[in-house]
Amino acid sequence: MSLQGTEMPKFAALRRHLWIRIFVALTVLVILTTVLSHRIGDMPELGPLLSPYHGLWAHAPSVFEASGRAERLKVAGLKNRVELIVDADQVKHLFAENDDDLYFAQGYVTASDRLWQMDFLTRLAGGRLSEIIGRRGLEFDRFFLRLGLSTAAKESVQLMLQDAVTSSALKAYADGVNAYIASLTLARLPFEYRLLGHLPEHWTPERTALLMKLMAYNLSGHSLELALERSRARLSSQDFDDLFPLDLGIQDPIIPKGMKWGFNTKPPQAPISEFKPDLKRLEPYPAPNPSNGSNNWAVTGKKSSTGLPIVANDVHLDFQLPSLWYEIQLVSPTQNVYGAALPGAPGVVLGFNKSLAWAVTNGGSDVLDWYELRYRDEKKLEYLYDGEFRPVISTETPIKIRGEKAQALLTRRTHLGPIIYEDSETPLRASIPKGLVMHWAGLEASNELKTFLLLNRSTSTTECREAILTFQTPAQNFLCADNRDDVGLWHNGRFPIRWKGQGRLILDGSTAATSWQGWIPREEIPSVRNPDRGFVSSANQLPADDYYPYYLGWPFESPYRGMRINELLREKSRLTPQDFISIQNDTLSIPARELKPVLLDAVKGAELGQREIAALEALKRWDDRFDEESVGATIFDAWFEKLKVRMWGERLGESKYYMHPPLPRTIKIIREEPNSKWFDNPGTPEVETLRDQAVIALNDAVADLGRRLGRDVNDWKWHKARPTMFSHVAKLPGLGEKVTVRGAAQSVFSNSGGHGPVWKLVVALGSKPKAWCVYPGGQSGDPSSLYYNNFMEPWRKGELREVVYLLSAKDANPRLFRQWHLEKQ
Amino acid sequence: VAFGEAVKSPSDLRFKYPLAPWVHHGLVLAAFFVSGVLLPWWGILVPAILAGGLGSAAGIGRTRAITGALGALSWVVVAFVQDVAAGGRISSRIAALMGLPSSIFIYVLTGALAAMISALGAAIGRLIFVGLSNRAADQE
Repeated sequence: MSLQGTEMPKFAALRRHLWIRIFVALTVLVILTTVLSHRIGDMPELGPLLSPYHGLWAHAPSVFEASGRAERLKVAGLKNRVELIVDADQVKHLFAENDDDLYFAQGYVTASDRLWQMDFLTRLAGGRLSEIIGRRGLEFDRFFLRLGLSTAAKESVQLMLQDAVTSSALKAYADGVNAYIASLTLARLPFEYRLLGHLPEHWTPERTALLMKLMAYNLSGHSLELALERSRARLSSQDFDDLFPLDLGIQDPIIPKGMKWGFNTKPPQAPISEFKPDLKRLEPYPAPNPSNGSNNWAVTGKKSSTGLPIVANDVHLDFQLPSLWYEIQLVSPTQNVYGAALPGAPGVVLGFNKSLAWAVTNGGSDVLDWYELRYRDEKKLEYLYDGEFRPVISTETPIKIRGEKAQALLTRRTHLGPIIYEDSETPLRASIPKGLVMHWAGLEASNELKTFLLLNRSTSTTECREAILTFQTPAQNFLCADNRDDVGLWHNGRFPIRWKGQGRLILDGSTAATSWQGWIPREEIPSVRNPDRGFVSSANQLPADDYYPYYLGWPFESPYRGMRINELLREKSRLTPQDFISIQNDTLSIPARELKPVLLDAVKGAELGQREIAALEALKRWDDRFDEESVGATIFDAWFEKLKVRMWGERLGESKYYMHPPLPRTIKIIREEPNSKWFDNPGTPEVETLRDQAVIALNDAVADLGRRLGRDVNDWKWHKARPTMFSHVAKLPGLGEKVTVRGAAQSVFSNSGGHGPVWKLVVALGSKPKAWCVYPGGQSGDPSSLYYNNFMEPWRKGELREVVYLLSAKDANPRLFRQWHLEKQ
Repeated sequence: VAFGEAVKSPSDLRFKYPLAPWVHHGLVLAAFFVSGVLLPWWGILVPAILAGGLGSAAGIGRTRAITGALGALSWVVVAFVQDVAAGGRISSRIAALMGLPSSIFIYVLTGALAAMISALGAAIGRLIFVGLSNRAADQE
């Protein structure tokens, strides 16, 4: 071929610069592959992530998801063979010849489904998030390191390893998790490891203790002191007592009213003190959403269709994926237990065995107080306590940060507890005051795991009572029922002795008079057993009436869920398991039932626009139920919220920053005091009443809904007004889910949009128990697995499936999927 | 030209080819699959450089295009198979994770990345071949 025209000189140039071109091309290639292999800012390392062989595309389902005939799997560390039966929902049923093998296998199969979740949560609790997500984890690490969960877990695990019940279980479980980790290849790493580019870490008993402490913090680490103190600063002493009374009046306590307490204890009296905290620390910043608790109840044989107790439990926590719970059956010569386990801990936390069912709700008693210190000088190295100065203990803890140099974190502690934030810092959580000392019962060494392992093998309510005696924090309402018709409910935990109201506001840390004065004796903590009414129940409300001598906390959850449950339990003389499921799905709101007629009456005859009239018509037709398609629910909720803003928001400040009066107090004012001064807007010359504020609030609500949901009132469905979101546990976008589901904070099917029932169980006790359960999510932690969220649809519809409870590994059941023989290697 | 012969013009880069093109491309595609299994993600460069250097009937532009397309195909096919095995949940999860409006975009992104890297690898392979070939010719 001949060269023509200008090609020849150009090609000559090409030949001359060939090696330069190779060098340039290679440089470009190296830079490109380097860039694609590294995380830059928020952009992930696209090369390895998009590789279908190793990255996010690689489908690595749990080995136990595969269908087929019985198979053998050699696992190093087992003593004897363990039978693993997997059912159609990927629930694992483990049959072992001894408890060590049982917990080993539990660790192994749980890790096969939830390894990353376990790993992530313990890194979070231990203040080690920055190691895997870089600088974005720093605020969490600073908070958890200063809180000291890691230290508390270290001390707790010493107790656990000295205890015969928990020691071998913890070690065997950790060995099982580690055996699974050892079997992993890079291509089979769980999705999030590949996404975030880190590797699993060796599992230890201490990490289980960390998880237990994290649960304790989630359930008992909330504080109202700061928001309440801010509100107090805006009110006269008389008005504060009126709006935030210690006795809220309308209550249906867990222990039926009128209980005769069999002890004569005189509670301590409040010292005379003029202490008020430094208001500079009370500057507003956003507060978290309040939690809305759990439900449990049981009927005794005389009120049960089966003649034996029926038990229900629905546990309300933050909605997350992967689910918080892991369903499992554990069988060994000492137990045959079924229920919800915490991924990362041996045993079953919520469930039943052949003879006993137990159900748990958060106790809500206050075990966390904040103290203001008086320092010797500006250096803040010493603080005054009972007339003498004590040193603040300061330490520096290194925080490893991915891709950066480690940072040193200053942590400061006193004899009362840690100082979480200095005055100059911005807290991770808005309810955490700055510059104050936290005194929280959860930081003491404890062994809550022992209670659950003992419950797993208890055969009676009496044994259940023994099992819960050592449980400390978070305080729980433990309900136990056995198949001999013995039912009991214990408000259970370790509660400080305090004067009435102690700790609901910030305390003076310079005197021992404000310290906790010992612990309430276990036998004097509220409980009820086989009451005449034939049922027991709890929904995080006040545990006992005013005659109970000890102060347990304030204000507890609003009483309305508990009242509604009791109302439904009283309606029928005998209840079936299906009735229990219906009660769990109940969406009626007592506040709505009580307030709707009052509000409708208040605006009668007022001049209203067409849309407001249409909204009132929809409200009149409404059945007070927060169902997903309900329009009335949306209008009531918006109207009541706007009315609360007019009553409290303008006087105290936004509810994000200032505590508003508890719901029972607000409802009482609206129902019984229409001319109360709390309806008057001090900024206007007129004296406003309920009617004035209700009309304005209605107009505001309708205008707001019109903006958000469109002009047509019929489109204002509850699920659109208050969407329900499940976030990924690490808040990774795309791995969560939006769900259309019923419920409101005050209904039995409690749902505040991001918080609600994350485990539902109904158990009918008998010679062989029958049970039904569901939870939002699925057994797998792998977002690409069918079992990541396959329970979501039945959960959304309120459907519970019958549990496959096997008495032996040879039991036949059409829902069994595959059997594995786990054998020692 | 064969290895060791001087490359004097762009036309010289259009080799006489020892294998039928479909056999050659088939082998290149197979090499992409094997390297994907055995090597880290950047292993896609190995078959791409070899494909660029060791022969293609086309000129450098076409070689780049064909190699890039084969690289993209090798990734997209494997991604598709895994996605189908997972009921389409992988692509939808990754798309949502990356804020993409549809699963198809994640296939496009995956293919584009593989194509870009393989095409660049092929070009480098070709340049290296030319350089080495010329040096061998000069030494003769």
